[in-house]
Amino acid sequence: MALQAYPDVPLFRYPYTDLSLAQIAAALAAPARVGPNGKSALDNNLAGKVLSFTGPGGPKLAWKFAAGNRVSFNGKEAGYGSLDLDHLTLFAHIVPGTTTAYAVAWDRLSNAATVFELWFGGGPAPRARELNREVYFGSMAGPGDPKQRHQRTLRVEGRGFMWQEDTGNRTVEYYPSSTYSHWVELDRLKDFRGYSAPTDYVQLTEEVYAVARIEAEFSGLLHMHLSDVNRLQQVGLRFGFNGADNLEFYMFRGTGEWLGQIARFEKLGDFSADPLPIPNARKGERRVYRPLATMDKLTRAEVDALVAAGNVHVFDKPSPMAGNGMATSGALAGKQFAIEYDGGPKMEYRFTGPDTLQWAIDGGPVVPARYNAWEMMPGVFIFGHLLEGQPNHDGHIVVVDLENGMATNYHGYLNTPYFANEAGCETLFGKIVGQGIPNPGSKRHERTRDMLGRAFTWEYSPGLNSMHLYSTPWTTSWIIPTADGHFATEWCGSGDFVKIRDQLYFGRWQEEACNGTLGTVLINMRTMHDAGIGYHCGKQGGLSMSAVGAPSRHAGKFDVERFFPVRKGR
Amino acid sequence: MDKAATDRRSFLKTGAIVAAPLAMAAPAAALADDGSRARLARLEDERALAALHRDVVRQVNTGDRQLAAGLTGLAADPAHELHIAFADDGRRASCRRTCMASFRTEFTGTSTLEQMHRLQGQGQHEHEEARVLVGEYRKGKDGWTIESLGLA
Repeated sequence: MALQAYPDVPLFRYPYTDLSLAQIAAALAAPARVGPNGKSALDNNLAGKVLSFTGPGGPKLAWKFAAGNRVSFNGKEAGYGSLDLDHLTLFAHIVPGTTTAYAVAWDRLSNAATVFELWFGGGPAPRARELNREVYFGSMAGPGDPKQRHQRTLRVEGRGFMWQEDTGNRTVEYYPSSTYSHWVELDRLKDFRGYSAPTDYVQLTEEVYAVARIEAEFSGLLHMHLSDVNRLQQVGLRFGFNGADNLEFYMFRGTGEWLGQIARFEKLGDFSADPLPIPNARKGERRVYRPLATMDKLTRAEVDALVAAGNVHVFDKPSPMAGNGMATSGALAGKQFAIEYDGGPKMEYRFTGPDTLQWAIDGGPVVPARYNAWEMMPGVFIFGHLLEGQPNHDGHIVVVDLENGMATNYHGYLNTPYFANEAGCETLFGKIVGQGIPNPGSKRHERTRDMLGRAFTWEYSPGLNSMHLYSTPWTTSWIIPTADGHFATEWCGSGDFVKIRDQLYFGRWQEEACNGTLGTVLINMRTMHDAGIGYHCGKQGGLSMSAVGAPSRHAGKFDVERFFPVRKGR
Repeated sequence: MDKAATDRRSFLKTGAIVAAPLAMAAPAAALADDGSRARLARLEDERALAALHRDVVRQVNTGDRQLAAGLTGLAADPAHELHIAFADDGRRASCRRTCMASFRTEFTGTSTLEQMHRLQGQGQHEHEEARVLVGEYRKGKDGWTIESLGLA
């Protein structure tokens, strides 16, 4: 694959170069001398100033600024860039001859300062191209209240903004966590997909926050900004290597749009903001979810062997993802109907019991299977079963509306081009043909944007909780809370959303390059409960279908529909 | 099954009736044939069953008995009495006692959510639930023995 600065494939599919530290050092040499650039002129107005930083537990650092964007640091002369946001200044530079850089937020009134020390290589990030950072809070020498410090904050948690840089690049940024963020690039990336990354949130004033994400697992670059969330203005820095391995080292001004606020779930009065501390942490270490590293990766032969050995489990044990799930329904037992999918197969079903059925595909042989079903509204069932004998070990997870004659199938299958055990999925729409079931004609369930921008918490089992954020029409993100209600690590995958009836929605997510699961949920917004099915293949659990189910809280909805194009067709 | 469950009131009432003869150490033969013998036998059964039920709680708490996945402890709820229902022949009994049950769940699975919980240092979770310890007992020549136990 040719290198692309902003890939036209999902970032989790893009083979980012494992740059060596020598390559990185070489790429930093000239920008260290010159300093960051910008689409608009930078302020670079610090000439003549000497800034000496101290802070508890942090290093003593000093910068001496001169004309022509020159700065002396540790006896080395570099080029710097700076931008002012009212009485706050963001300045940045690379330390010449090193792979270290600094970005500093300085309050010129209080002298409070936050220093982001940035370095490539040496860890804790697993690859040299992924920036490391350590954040120090302190103050610059001079008048001011030394007790007035910047601090980590959860005040940004739950907010969402669209920020537009002076480069023209627009990014929807969701902050549903106090340690991660989720972003959607609207211009440089073409598929309007959301991604998640570990993020630092620092409160600088009541209105201005520093937000800094490292695009870990992908390019590894830093995108940070000081944002005045009241005036909706920002100044920022982008630093790191893009997909073409070109160094981006630029500063920007931006303007924002407020997109909404979803609920936070910390105890009222809890403003603590370091929810995932690591005991005896290495410098720069934090809890970063690296799903590809922990994912089982099986070949097609290994998957086939696993299935042939009988390592197949269909609703045969309690699922921690459904400890608070609804009771299964046996009401399909005795029913018989066919589902004719548009552009897909014709499935014939005979439900021989509350958890046994027979299926046939396109008039083929009748095959028995185990299923589970849940009735989420009167006459609407979600059920799932494996298609034993199919070469891709398919699973059908189907919602049937027997009162309206329509069906939607999240058809899961293995043997994707990426990992044989990773679930692929297609959405099939169809009609149900059976005695007493009305013929919907050409009417079908339809994709919906009713869920776009919404967030729901899910309480699967005691101690096992998450929140979904439906961040784009094609992305489902999930965020994990801490025991005290801070939401923290976050990840995401492809999603799809279908309206079944008013307030009843069929959604899914795919854990691509991340555990490989296809997860589905039929969400009833009247009962605030879901029932769903997970389809997964891995070394430990084999090929499986298992229940998903949890009570929910509606955390809120971001107003983001205008940012996403309407895609025609099914 | 005789559903004449022994609630607090009837238990105390029965106990009061039989307490005096026991305290006086009167020989059984001296008891008038007015039903006292049966009531005494029933009281002894109730005491034996209560002891057996307490033993079950103790064994759960010492780890010597596993009643449910993840169950680490039981504490009898003092707000609720032990309820005993005897079968008609008096040879079987069902005992129910509301308890606070402590559970520990280990998130050892490979699901993404479990992995992320472990990453956050939340690989196990402890919680309590109000449950009912249900015991089915049978009386043999050596006294009462457990037929089955469970948490409702």
